[in-house]
Amino acid sequence: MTDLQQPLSDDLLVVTDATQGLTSESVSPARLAIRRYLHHKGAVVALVVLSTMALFVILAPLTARYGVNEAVFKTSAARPNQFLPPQSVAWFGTDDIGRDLYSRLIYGLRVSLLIGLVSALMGTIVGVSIGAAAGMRGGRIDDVLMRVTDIFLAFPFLVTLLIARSFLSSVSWLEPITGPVTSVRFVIVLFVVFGWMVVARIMRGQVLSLKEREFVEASRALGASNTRIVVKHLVPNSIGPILVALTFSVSGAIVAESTLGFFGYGPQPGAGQTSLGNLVGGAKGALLPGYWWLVVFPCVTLVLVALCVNFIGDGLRDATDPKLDMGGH
Amino acid sequence: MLRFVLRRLFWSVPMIILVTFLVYVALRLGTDPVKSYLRVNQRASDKKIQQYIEANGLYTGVGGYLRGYFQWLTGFLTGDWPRSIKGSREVWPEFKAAMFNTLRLGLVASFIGITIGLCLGIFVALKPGSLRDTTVNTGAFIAVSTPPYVSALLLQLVFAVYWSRWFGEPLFPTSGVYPPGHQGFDPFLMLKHMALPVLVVVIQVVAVYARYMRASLLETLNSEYMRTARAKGISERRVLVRHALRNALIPIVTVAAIDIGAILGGLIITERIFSYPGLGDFFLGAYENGDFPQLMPWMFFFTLVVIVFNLLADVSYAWLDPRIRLD
Amino acid sequence: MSTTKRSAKFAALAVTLSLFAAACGSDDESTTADTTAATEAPTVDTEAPTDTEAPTDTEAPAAAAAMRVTIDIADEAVWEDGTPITVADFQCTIDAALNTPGSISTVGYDQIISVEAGASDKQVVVDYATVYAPYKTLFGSLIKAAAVEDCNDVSTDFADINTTSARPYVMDSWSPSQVVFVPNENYWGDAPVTDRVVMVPLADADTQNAALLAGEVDFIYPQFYAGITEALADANVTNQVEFGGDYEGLYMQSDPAREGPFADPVFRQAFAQSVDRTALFEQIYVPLADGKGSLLECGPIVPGPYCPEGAFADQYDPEAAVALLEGAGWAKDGSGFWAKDGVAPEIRWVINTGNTRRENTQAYLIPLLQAAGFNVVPDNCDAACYFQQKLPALDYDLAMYISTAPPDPGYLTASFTCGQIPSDENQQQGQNSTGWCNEEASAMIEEADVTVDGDARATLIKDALTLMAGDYVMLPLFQFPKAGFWRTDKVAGPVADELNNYTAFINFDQWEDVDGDGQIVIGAEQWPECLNPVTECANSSWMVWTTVFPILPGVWATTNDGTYETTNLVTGEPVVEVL
Repeated sequence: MTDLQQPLSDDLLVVTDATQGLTSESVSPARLAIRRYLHHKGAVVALVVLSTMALFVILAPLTARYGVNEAVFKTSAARPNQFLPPQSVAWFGTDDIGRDLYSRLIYGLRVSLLIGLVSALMGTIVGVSIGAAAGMRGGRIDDVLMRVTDIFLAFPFLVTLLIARSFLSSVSWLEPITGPVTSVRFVIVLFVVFGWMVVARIMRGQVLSLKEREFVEASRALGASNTRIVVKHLVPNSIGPILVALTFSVSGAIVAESTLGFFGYGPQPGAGQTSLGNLVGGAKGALLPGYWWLVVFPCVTLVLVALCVNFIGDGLRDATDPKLDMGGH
Repeated sequence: MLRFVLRRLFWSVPMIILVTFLVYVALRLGTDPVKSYLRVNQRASDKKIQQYIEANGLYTGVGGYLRGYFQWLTGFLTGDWPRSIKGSREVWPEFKAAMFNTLRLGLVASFIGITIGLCLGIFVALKPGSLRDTTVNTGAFIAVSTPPYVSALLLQLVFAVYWSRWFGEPLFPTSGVYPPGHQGFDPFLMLKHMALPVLVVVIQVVAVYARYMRASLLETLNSEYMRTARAKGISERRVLVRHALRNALIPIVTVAAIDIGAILGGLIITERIFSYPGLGDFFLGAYENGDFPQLMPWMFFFTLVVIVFNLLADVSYAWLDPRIRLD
Repeated sequence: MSTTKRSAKFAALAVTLSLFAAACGSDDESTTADTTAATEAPTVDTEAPTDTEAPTDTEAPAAAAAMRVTIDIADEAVWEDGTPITVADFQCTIDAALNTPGSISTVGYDQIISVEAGASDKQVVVDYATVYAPYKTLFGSLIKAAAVEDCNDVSTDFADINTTSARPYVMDSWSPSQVVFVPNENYWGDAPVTDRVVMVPLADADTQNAALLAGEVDFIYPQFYAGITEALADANVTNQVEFGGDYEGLYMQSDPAREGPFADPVFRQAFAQSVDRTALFEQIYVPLADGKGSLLECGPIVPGPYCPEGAFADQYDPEAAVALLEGAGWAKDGSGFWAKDGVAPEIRWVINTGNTRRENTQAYLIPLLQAAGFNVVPDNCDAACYFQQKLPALDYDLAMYISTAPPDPGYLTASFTCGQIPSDENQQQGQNSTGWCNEEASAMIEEADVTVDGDARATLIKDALTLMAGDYVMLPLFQFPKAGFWRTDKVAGPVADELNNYTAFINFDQWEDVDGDGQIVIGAEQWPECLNPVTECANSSWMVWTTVFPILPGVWATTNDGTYETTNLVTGEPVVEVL
């Protein structure tokens, strides 16, 4: 049982929630949070890597060597340039019609980061609100909200999405909100609308198991409103599972986008766009003939993004967890 | 407890009706069954079209939708299913075969995946920050970030293509439910053909559940009542088994029960890749044709699956966490 | 509703729907094809009230006959149960095609006024209302009269299996996961070499490749894509690439009634002259086929007797395009797009999403076209929406798709004549999805349909297509490869012989099973949902390849080099008399 020693020793240093509000501190909470975050080495590295990626992506016209659809050089029967392995003219090799994978990765990452981050964040916010409302109010409201969650969960993602696409394309007044069905915006809207349920369930579960705890009861006794209790106590105390779900939904959204692409429903390459999911999808046809660069670079990028988001999530959890105290470390 | 279960069971009936009605409306608006029928049967006569509309209850107007829905429901429950729009085939025999294929695949994969995932989660939660924790964590992220069609192809390459080059015979087949030409029932061959699709799903499920379990267990182990338990002098093993695991499982169980429904529906891609004739392929074909008589039973089935698993989640939730008020 | 009786003229013009539905067909890779006119025929619906302007009444007096074809059925020709194939089966085939609700095509059959027994019931005398040049496309897949309850409505027959056969194999079983063929004991020709042929669905291209490499299937016939030969590089796998009747092209919506930007012939011509087909070919198609094949210059037809040599040769001439537009009062607006009267038209380019080749083409061409001053925007949707809604409704400005053409040019009538533009007159059922109407060309194409003389017919077709080239309606791109891949350690014999045939691997009865597992396994990229050879079920080429051609007998069969020849169902070439 030595395995338990580690968490046990951590635990002993924790200031309990009920007393936290009463503890006076000389360091501001924000600075304390930053200090906690910086303490997590993985999170720091991840932040640096992701920021670098973001910088590359924002500066795409400068960092990319070619346009998103520009061929490395012209193909002809005498001089094919499709499926070139990595070399000096094309660092990451070229694809089936001779486009530079490195440049396309930068442009693809731009779209994917947008889709992943925006839809995951918005979906989580929606999910937390609904889950918290259901858990706090209980009774009929809980029933109704959770049944609505069930309805949304009731159908497999892809099915819901296909039906929703048919449906939305016949409801014209929604177009200003969702954009055309092949746009990035439409994909984000779909992912938010169909991506909040898991978080809502987790949040509700957390609320149910936390709301009868002493510190919540104490807070309530002091006259705190439900909203305040949720924001001040329940969300911080549930931040672990929520962040796990959030980080999963970032990579989940990126992968889901590639799944959409697999069935031809992603953002359209024809419009000069590509996405990480699109490029990872391209890995499929490249595996058998052995064009390894088309598999390795997109997949590694995707995993790297997912890992970075995850570590940042870990770091954020440490930073926001009121149970952690820096003094002991 | 019994009262709670009965009450939930009772409520799930109107729930199913409500959801399937909403689905019915969405399908009718989204796919326009009559238009789809005309697209697939371009030279159908007025009489045939009228027959189709009546057989499926495709009436217009608010009252027409209600009437149509209840007509459909009555027919569905009494086994009087309208025929498919393409080829005018009976829906039930194919649906049944697809359903069993999918249930078999999905339930086996869920069971294996969740079990391994939970064990792995406990395993790493006991030593957070260790090498094994990092390894599993990273592995989970790689697994979750790999689209199923990439992992499926990798598995096919290793276990079928390369294996047959190395050893003359593929270890696991790439596709199908049985080898080509096989007729009749053979559990061994069936399992062999399920191996790769199950593996693809298991990889994803394990990754998700290992992470959930780890997070949940750590949360529980760090909570103050666990410290209270320890302070009372209860042994670590007892702390872990009696209290921590039980509490850590509460949020997982809710997610898991619902996930099984999602896993069943998420087999669409897996089934397509492995040419596995299940509900996923059934849906894609039906959706492409806008085949209303095929789509509705499909939707009904999944509504049922999710609501049943949801019920299971609530019941087990109540059973695991006695603090939850049952009424 | 829209489908009731239609006029004879329209029916005559109606080209095989399946050709286009197929070509444009049900799937993203367009492998669907015409199922030979024999199996598909749009109906003249008998259930509809009598239409006064319907001269195609099958009851019409025989005196009106303009052409007579006399077919002598071989004495030994029998169905799988030993019953002879007779004139009754021919009558049933016609009735089924014409009268079955939901019949896929009535083309050709609607020209027949009577079918009668000649000297015996083994001699079939078919009378046509007009001279019908593509007569060889009919009776390609006979329906067995004794197998159906009512020849006038076979829509509920063959729901789960089609056990009729007069070819080397009979269907032993069919399911969503496989179809099994076993020898037809009563087949009068050469017995099949292998006792069992199994076809299995392999929807995913990579799985299909993996299954072949792992030795689970012996033969596949995949849609070609860049890298496929590398993917299937294996000591035991061989392949043959052919260039058959499939061709891909760019189409411009030119129907004036649709009021799209290409309704203006000047704008259309300028646009066409701004598309560098040679560069596009090198960028997209050279990598695809490893440099094999060349830019298609025949128009909507593949090289052969009907190809107007040079008519569609390089039309790229950006300077002429600029001069043409400026001469017609166009000028570039603030954003660099050609505008007339202050309006720069938006050109909606529709393709099916998920088709990498077409997406690549858009990605390559759109920036170039925009630079040339054409505001082209992608407006893509999924395959079902593209092929079944957008194209039939002419709801696009620019489209790109593959057509699978049978050897007979009769399909041009449906696809490119004025009367076939969907309109109220033809209940919006017309098949001309390009909206191109050139009265002179239409007249020639229609004339070709009633011209039996081969050379005269070819000249008419070529002249019509030359007119088409001058109208800049479509830009032909590539004669698309057809390829078979098979394992030499599993299957041998004449595997390569019919790969270019419209009926594909039809000769599998002569293939040898060399690995000793007692069966040949063929992987199918698409799987039929239903087996009815008359209804809309039959609108995909994979459906007819796997469930119709292997079992149903026909008078004529297509050959590997794109002609028609008689089968052993008949004693010799049927006698054609123009009356």
